[in-house]
Amino acid sequence: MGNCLKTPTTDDISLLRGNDSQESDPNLGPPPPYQERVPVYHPSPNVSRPANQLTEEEQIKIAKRLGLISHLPTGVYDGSVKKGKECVICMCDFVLGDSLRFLPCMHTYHKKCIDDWLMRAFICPSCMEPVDAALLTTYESS
Amino acid sequence: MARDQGNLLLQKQLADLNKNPVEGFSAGPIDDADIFKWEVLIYGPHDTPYEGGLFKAELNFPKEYPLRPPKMSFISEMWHPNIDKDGGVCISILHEPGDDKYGYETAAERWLPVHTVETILVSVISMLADPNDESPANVDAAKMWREQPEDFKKRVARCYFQNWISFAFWKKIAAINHMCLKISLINRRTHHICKKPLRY
Repeated sequence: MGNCLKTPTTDDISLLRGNDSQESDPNLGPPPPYQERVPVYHPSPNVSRPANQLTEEEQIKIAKRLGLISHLPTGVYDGSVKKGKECVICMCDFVLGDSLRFLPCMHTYHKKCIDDWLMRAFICPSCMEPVDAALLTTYESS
Repeated sequence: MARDQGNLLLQKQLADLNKNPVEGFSAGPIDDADIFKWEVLIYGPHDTPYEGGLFKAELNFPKEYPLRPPKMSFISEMWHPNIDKDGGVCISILHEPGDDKYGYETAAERWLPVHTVETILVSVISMLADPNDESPANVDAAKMWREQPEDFKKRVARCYFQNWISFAFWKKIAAINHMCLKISLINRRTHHICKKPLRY
C-alpha cells in the first residue's frame, strides 16, 4: 500500500512565497469569487432554472432526458437523400459533414438544433410523436 | 449563438413572405434594425364577424426563437374569446413548449420550433373564424359569443369600425382601386406607403 499523496518540499516553499507576496502588496484585493457557467434547464413550461437550483424531481427528469437523448443515433451528412435535405428547425439545407441526429420516427435534424429542442420538449417537431414512446416501439419491434 | 440562429431564420422568412405573399395578412419587421419585432396586418376572414376589418398586431420574438414562441398582441381594438382585453393572443401553439405536470396541454399542442410567421398567422386567422370558448382569455367575449351571437357581431363591428377610422387611408386606396380591396394589393403597398409620404 503506497501513499499516492506526494508532498514535495518545493511546494511548501512556493506556498510560503505566495503568502509573502500577498502581505507585501496591500493594494491587491481578495481574489474574485470562483465562477462557473452553469447550464440553464427548462424542466417544464415557463420554468427555467440553472442546474444548481433544480429540485430533486427536476434533476431526475433532466438526467433521464439527457440519457435518452444520448441513446438516439447520430451521424454525419453524406449527401444521401434518404436522410432528408433540410433541417426544419433552422430551415437550412444539410451540408456535407454536418452532425445529424436521427429520431425513431425517422425524422432527421441537425444534432445541435434538435438536442436543444428535446431538452425543452421530448417530441418530434415534425410529427409531434413523443420520442420516448417511439423509442419503446422501436425496441419492441427490433 | 441562439440569437444568430433566430436572426437568420426570421430574415429568411421575411424574404419568403416578400417573394410569395400569403393571402389574409401582411407582415414585416417594424424597424429594419430589429428583426425580432414584427408588425402584422390581418384581414378579417370571410363569413366571420371580422369580415371587412383590418387588424393590426405585433409579434415579439424571444432571443431563443425558434426554441421558444413569440408573443402576439393586437394593437387594434379586438373583441374575441381568445384575445385578452390588452390584445394578447392566447392560443396553445404560442404557449411555452414542454410537458406540464398538470396535463393542461400536451407538448404536441404547444409551441413547436417548426412554426413560422406564416403558420402562426394562419392559426390566428383560423382562430378568428373559429373561437375556442372552452379556455377563454376574455370571458365576457366568450359568453357573448355563445349566448348573444348578434350582439357579438355588433360588438366586433364597433371594434373594426374604430380600426377603420385609424386606417382611413386604406379606404382611399380601396376607392382608387374600384372598391376592390384585396390583400395582395395591401401587401404590395404596405411598406411603400409606410416609408414614403403619400403624394397626390
